[in-house]
Amino acid sequence: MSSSGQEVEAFCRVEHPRLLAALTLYTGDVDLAAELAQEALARAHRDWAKVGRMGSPGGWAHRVAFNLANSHFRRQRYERAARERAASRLPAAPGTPADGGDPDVLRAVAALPHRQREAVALRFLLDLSVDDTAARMGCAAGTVRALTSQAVARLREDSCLADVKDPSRA
Amino acid sequence: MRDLPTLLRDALPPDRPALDLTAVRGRSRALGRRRTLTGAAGAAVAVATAGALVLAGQGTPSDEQEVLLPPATSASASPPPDATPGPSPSPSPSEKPVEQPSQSRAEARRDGVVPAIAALPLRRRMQVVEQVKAPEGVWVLSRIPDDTGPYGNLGARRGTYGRDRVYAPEYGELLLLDAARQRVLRAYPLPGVPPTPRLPGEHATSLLLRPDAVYCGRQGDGGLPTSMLCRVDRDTLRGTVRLFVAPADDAAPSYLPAGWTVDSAPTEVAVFEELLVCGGALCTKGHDGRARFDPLTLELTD
Repeated sequence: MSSSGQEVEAFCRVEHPRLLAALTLYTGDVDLAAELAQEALARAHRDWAKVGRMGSPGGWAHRVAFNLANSHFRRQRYERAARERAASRLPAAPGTPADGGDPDVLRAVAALPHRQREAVALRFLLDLSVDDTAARMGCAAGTVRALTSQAVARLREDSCLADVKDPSRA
Repeated sequence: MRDLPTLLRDALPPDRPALDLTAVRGRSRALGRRRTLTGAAGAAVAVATAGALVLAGQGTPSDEQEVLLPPATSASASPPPDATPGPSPSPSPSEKPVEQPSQSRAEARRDGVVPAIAALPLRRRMQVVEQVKAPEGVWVLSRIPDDTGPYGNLGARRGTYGRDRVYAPEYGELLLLDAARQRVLRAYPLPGVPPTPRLPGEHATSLLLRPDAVYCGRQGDGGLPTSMLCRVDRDTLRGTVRLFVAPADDAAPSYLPAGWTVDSAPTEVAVFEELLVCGGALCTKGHDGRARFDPLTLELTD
């Protein structure tokens, strides 16, 4: 395999778990997240000669993945309906052994508006800085702060997350 | 108090699917084949020709310098002192507070803008991607800022996409503002083909000012694969748009605003990332090479 081929596959190995985690939180659907992550990485693989030279290939892949997710929601007509579907696909009972994780938390995140969800996924799950999150979302740093603050306030309205600490105030 | 990042990490199902590199490679090859096959009849030929010109030395990197507007000519937050008034006799900024609708209903009808967009104050309507100052005002390639509208849907929920409603993350505009950037003189909606925000380190030019017209471009991406070129005549302010619909985009527009054309050759080639002047002609450039385009019809010509 060429050095470029090794490079892009190393990139895929590093980015895949991060993409998958962020997209799972964003879409509330691990299967959809896996599909979107694979499509984004396939596009990075195809265009690696260009993407590999970018300042932030990971940022490019995340942008493509979230754009794909947004298009998916748009094509399902209305995002609200899509969110409800995504939420309904989550296990009804918390802590179902087959799924693991905490479906109550995922359901609460799935109920957030999509920009708040994206900000939460990038900022708190992937632990990106405010500036990096802003660059990936294509918005101002102040907008990221506002989105995450609104998201945390909204999450706290959920009884299972009432005692959550606002990480941006830590 | 519980820690949110920890809660989020613990909330994800532990048995998430593993990376399947074979599937990624296969899908990448399939994407490449689709690009080659579908672009061959039209734009791919143009790209190959443009690429040959570059190899032959006819499209030199120095050509690109001609179109990149120097920072001094770009609009800044402070109003330029010598700018001339724009063509639309709207109320002055002192008569019209910033939080007022950015356009009247009549202006929205004239420009084909969704009423819900026109009703937004300018700060909630405009997020600058690129801008350039001109005697007639400031041309701004813009997206809708974040947090505008409930869940990003603006307009009549059951209306036609692009005419009655838009999805904010997938909507952009070319705007002509007054010199102080306080009011919209003309708006050219770009539903479904918004300008692509720049990532750190990216400095492509998607807004090109020429003596007779201003041009804008968009390279299709993973989420919205359709590419686009636009032109606004600086004298008549008439706008035209040519869409280069990617085969993968099953959301190709069913409604075409006035002045829009769908190119007859579906294409997914990456030649729309930058606009530039090359050898006296207008070109687009991207990962797949360069292509000249007709300055009036916006068709790829070689």
